[in-house]
Amino acid sequence: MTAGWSYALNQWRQSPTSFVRLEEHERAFKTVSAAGFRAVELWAGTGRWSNLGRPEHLRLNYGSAAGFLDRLAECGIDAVSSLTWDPSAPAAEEGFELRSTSRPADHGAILRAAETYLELLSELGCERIVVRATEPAGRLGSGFDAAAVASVLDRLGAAAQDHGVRVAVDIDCLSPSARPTASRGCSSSPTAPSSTCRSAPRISSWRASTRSRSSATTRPASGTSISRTPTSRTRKRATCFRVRKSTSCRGTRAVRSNAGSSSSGATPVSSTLPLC
Amino acid sequence: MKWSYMDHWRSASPNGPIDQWQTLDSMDRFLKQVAAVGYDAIDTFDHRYFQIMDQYGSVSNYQEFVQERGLERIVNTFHAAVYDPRTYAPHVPETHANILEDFRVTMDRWSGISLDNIIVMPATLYYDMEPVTDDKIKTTAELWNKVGAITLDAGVKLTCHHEFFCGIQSKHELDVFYANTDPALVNLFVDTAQHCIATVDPVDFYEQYADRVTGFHFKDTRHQDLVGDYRRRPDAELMATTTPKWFHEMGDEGGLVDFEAFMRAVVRNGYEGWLSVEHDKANKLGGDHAESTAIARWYAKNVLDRIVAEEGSK
Repeated sequence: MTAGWSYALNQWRQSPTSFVRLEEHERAFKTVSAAGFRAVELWAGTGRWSNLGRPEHLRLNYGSAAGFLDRLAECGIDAVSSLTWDPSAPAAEEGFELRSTSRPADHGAILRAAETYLELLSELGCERIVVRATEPAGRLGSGFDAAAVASVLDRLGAAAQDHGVRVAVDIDCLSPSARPTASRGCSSSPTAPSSTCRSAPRISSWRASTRSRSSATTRPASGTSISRTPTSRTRKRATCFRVRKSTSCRGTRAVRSNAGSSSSGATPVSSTLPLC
Repeated sequence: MKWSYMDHWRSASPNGPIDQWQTLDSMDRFLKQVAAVGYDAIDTFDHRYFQIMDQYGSVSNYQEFVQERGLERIVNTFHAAVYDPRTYAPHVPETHANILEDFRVTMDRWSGISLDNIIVMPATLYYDMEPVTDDKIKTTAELWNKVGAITLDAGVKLTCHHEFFCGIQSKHELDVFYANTDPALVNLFVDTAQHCIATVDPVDFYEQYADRVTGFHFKDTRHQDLVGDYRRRPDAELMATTTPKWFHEMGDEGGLVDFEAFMRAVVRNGYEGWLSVEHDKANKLGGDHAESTAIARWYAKNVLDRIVAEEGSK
């Protein structure tokens, strides 16, 4: 497998009203290209200042998805590697609803919202949507429901597959399922079997749920993969690898890819600066 | 004359640019800088309510935090609604119930302090209202008459701030709107730069409606929109071809607003109330909010105060 490197463009959006003008996009694309990256990662957003985060605005500004790809190519970028999306983030275009992947009543709205992005990714030839698994633990309280999260992610994976897109699940440091090991006195080894961890039910039940409709050793039929490092088993399902050095979190977090590949045979690797 | 600062702000931090709401420490530094250069109060956005509740526990607690740093109070809030013709648009009658309920909720949330004004952009983005007709403006006016009654019942004046890209921005549109709104319920908040960009002379406009004016945003611009930037999608202001930076401090070398004439008009018309300084996106193209805020205050103190004295002695 050959790894390819991509850069997440959210780095350029330092305030809600920055990174709106097309000449700012151009400078970012050229900078990314000059630094040797061959792909970019987009991120989902909301509102009229989110020119790369809303499909309708991207098409409006560049004429079409193909027009956007042409502009990237002119700047030396070959592809859009992925798009990150937080289903729990309220979007003006979707009525500012505070949706939760843990709440089955919200799943229909989440899937409808995803469709907008999946259509764009299909047009862009982008094979990967990175989906934040849950809202922050602080907002969820005791409402985390691993089975519900797994269920909607599986359905999302199936919907994505219809568009030729795979779902990569992003479990970040604020997630209620993000700290099953160190914080509960378990092994901190990223490859420790989940069965050795007393807090395993959170992440492992989720993993079991997402595996339930697919083979555990091959690409899931649903197209869902988990982008986290706790077990060697999940490595088989990882499709992308986000590398970010954080000044506020401890250490560097990464998810290794050994499964999916892009059309060119390279698996894009995304790099972002601190998000925590 | 007392000066308030509309709380646009960005500052550098080890994690990149932040606004003052990031932490209690960053708010502390922001407020002290505003007070140090001589402002008497601040204005804010009412969508900050959720951060206020998270960080200070209540709106009145936040105001106390402001007062402990040498500022008198929070004078005005800006109600920056996200307009959507499907659900929330003043020219669409079917959405009025939503809007009225939004203001009932908002006024309740802010009832813990005494505000002078709640400021609104009274129309959607221009392109969402096109074609802008007198009938649509009259429908819009009907809504704001009702909203004005809600806010006045809460002891706060409703006042309208016309961005150059909003659906009511030309002189004709403004005149139709104010002819169809109740002066007792719907007031005007003059933003000197926004009207100038929309090719409406702010001095003449203020003189015409002085008896309805309940506040100002003092800021300057170097450009007028002569190419139809106000209709640009998805964002007229930020994506304009005329300029990437519309707003500058009052007294700016290349500024188009005649602030001396404007201030003479304010005094001549017997305005009694707060004057607000706003620096919308002052940090663009290498600018700096703290510096702009100080420079604007210098101009108020060294130029406008003299004009106030001169005009007042006539």
